[in-house]
Amino acid sequence: MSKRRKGEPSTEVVLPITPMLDMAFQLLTFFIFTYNPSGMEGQFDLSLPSENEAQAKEMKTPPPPPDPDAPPKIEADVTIIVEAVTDDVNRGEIAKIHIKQNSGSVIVGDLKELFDKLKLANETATEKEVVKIQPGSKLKWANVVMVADTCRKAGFKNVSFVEPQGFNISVVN
Amino acid sequence: MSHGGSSEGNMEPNLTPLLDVVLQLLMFFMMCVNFVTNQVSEEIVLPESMSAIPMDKSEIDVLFVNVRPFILADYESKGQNALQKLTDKFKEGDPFIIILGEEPMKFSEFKFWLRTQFSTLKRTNKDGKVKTTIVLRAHRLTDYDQVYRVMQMCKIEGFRQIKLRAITKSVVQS
Repeated sequence: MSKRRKGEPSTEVVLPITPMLDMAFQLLTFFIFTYNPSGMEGQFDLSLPSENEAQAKEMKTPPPPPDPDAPPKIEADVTIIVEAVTDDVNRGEIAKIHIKQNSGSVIVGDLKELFDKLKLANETATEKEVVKIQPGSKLKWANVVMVADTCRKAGFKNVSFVEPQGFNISVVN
Repeated sequence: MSHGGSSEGNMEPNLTPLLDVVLQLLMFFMMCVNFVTNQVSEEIVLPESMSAIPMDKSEIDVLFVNVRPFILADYESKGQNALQKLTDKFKEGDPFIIILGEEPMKFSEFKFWLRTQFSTLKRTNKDGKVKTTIVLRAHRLTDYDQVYRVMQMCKIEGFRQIKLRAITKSVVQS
C-alpha cells in the first residue's frame, strides 16, 4: 500500500461528469420518446366443442361413444345467437341478438337489453352457469368479446363459443 | 440581489444530485420497456374485456399466435418492397397470421407450422406429452369465423390448451 509522503502535492482525481451527463440525457430522451405504456393484457379461458363433435357433425356420422370415465357433459339451457351486419358501412357490427331457451326465443336489440334478459334467464335456467354463444361468421371479434362479457356480468360463468352458422369444418382439415 | 463580488471563488454547479435524478429516471424508463414485445406483435389491437383475468406469469410453455385481417392501409409505411411482398400474398381482408420470427402466414402455412411445432415438442419433451398452451391474440377487427378456424386448427393439431388475450377494461378506462 502506498502512502503519500508529507509535502507531496495531492493529486485530485477529477471525474468528467459532463460527458456522462450528456450521455445520460441522451439515453433518457430516447426512453422517454419510446415509452409506450400499453394497456394491461389479461386472458380468459374458453370452452370449445371437441373436434370429434365438430367432425362428426360435418361427416354426418354418429359421434364416438362417450367415455365412461369422462365427467358428465353439462348442456347449456341458454344459447345466444348473434347476427352480424353485412352491409359495407357497418360490416361486422351486431345486427340482432336471439336468446334461445327451452321456453322459446327472444330477440333483443342491444347489449343492455341482452343483460336484462339474461339476468331473468339466469334465474329460471337449470344450468345457471352455462351459456353458449353462436356468433355470426362475419361478426367482429371485439363484438364477440363484448357479448361474452355481458353474459359473465349477468351471472353465467361458463361461456362457450360454438361454430358460426354455415361454417365448413373441412376448411380446417 | 447579492453578488459575491469580493471573493472570486470557483462557481461550479453541483452536478451530482442532478446526475442522481437523471440516472434514476433513466433506470425507471429502462425497466418500463415492455420486454414482452419480443413475443407478441404490436400490429394486434386487442379487444377490451372486463372478464379478462391477469396472466399467469409462471406459465412459460406457451406459443403466441397473432391473427388479424390484412388491411393494406396499416402496412403502407413498411416500404415498397415489403408491401409488394405482402400484397402478392394477401388480399384486403384476408386472414393474416403473425408468429414472431416467421413470415406472415396464410391458414394453410399456419396449419403446417402448427403440425411441425407439435411434432417437435412431442419429440423433445421427456414424457412425450405436449403441455404447451396456445396464446391466441386476435385483433379486434378479425371476423369470428377466422378466430374460430384458428382455434379449431390448434385443437385438431393436438394442442389442448388455448387462452385468449384481451385488454383488461378497467385499466383502459382509467
